[in-house]
Amino acid sequence: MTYAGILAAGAGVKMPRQDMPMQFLPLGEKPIIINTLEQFFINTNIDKIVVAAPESWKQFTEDLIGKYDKMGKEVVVIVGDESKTASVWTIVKYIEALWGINDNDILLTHDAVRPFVTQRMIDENIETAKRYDAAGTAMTTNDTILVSEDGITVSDIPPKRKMFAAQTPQTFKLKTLEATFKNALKQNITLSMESELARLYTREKKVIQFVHGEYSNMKIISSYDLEVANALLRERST
Amino acid sequence: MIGRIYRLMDTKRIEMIQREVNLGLNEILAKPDFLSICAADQRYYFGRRRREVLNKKLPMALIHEATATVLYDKNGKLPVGSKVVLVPLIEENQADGLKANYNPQNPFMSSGVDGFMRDFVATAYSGVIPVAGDYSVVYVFCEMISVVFNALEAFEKSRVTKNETVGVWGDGSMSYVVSLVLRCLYPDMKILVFGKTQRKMQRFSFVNKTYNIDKVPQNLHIDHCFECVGEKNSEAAIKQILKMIAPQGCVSLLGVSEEAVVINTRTVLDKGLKLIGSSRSDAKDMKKAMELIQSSDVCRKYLEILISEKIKVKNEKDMVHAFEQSSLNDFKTVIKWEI
Repeated sequence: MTYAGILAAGAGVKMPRQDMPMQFLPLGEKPIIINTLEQFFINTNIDKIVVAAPESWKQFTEDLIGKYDKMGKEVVVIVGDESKTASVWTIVKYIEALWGINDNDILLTHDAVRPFVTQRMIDENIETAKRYDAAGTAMTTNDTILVSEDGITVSDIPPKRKMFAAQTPQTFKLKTLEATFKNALKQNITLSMESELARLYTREKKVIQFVHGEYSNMKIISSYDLEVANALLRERST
Repeated sequence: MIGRIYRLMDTKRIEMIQREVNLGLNEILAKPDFLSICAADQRYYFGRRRREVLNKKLPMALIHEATATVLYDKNGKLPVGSKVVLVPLIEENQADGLKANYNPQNPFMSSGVDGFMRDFVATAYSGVIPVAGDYSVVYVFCEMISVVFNALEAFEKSRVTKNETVGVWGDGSMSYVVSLVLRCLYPDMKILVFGKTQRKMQRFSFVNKTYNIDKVPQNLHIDHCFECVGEKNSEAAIKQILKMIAPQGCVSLLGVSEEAVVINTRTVLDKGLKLIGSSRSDAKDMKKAMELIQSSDVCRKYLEILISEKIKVKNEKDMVHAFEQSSLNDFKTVIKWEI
């Protein structure tokens, strides 16, 4: 079984005078989260979809998804966590409790606010996760990355060729993922940081194989991003 | 939903555009699997059309030969995962006595409207032909074969003499497919191919004989001819055809030329010839093409070797590579579309 876990639990309130989480704001004719979900509805490799929503917006999320054609896909909405890593753990526990976890099961996780994910990225994530421990979508960075210990001065400039920007989807063999979480919890490792999941994997020497992302697979987290995303959807004549 | 389309913006420049795709009530969603590059696509890509034509038609997504996988059918008529051939002619209008492919009101994809270079296609049921049985890359040639069926329909209506020798001019993919369809439909027909590149003509193993256009023996008897040369050389080909064809023969013209071509009408009149123009095809022709592929193992084998190169395409850079390679390949360049 291949599951898609859509991470929509972040409050994401970075829009001025906007009290609704970003994933529910309109992009083109539909809310961002619906645009994102539709890419998973049409993907023939995805069997079930679990959406992790903010607690107070869970019912709203269910209502919203209910208004659109799910194209035959089974979709459940659960309460997630502010931290992305903790939300993934919540999804894993939900799958375990409801359907059980089998050896070949795969969980693909994706940010609800990345609606420009492509079918290629989804398919390659699944294929790659089946061959390795996990797959991570990544892009080379256009900007030079600076390291600063104090947030004021430059303490290091890592070589650009070694710098990649992480996108989603990130995809895991479910059995391995569950074991990794359990190990981490035994060691009292916090799951509050967004990057913690990849760190747990690298700490255990597990392989996260890259899948090529795209610059267009942008994360919409500000009013500027939303304006750019809407502009991208407008037909261009030249 | 958000869909991506890859349009030729100008000569050799392909750009991805994201736009909202709305699925109509009687439409299905399909993801292209294999695309095949046609000479018409190359003319746009390499800018071999007149500037005013390019200005009028671009930006436009290319490719009108494609197979696809069904992603979604709300009405459940086509199962998810089933394979289809995509039909490029949108038969929106009907006119008495006029074949749909000759009705100027009917759009043709990749010539005036966007072709199949997209992540998925929302199309009416009439825009797909389901593939029954084993799926194979050769179904991508359905559209090309259907063009031959369209030409043969007119040819059959026009020819006076029968069972004879047919000459096919050209040593490229169109000539290959015309010769192959003739061989499959008329096993006893004597098929002679006239070209200029020996290497390419060797591929035509199923015809009776191939000739270099500069070394054609005198007194060859040819009843009917198919011209599949196109572009600037079609004039010389037609000239040679008119010289060699027997009286009351049919000349089926399939090669596209951007420039006007001179034809010696005195010879046409003296010999009582019929010149038949032929372009594109309709859905019925495509179904005939599908039936031919399905019914003949031999045909499928010959179509497999029509592929000069199969290229995986995952991004715009790969697309450019595929088009550039297509100009170097003797026969068809097929794209495995992994967008």
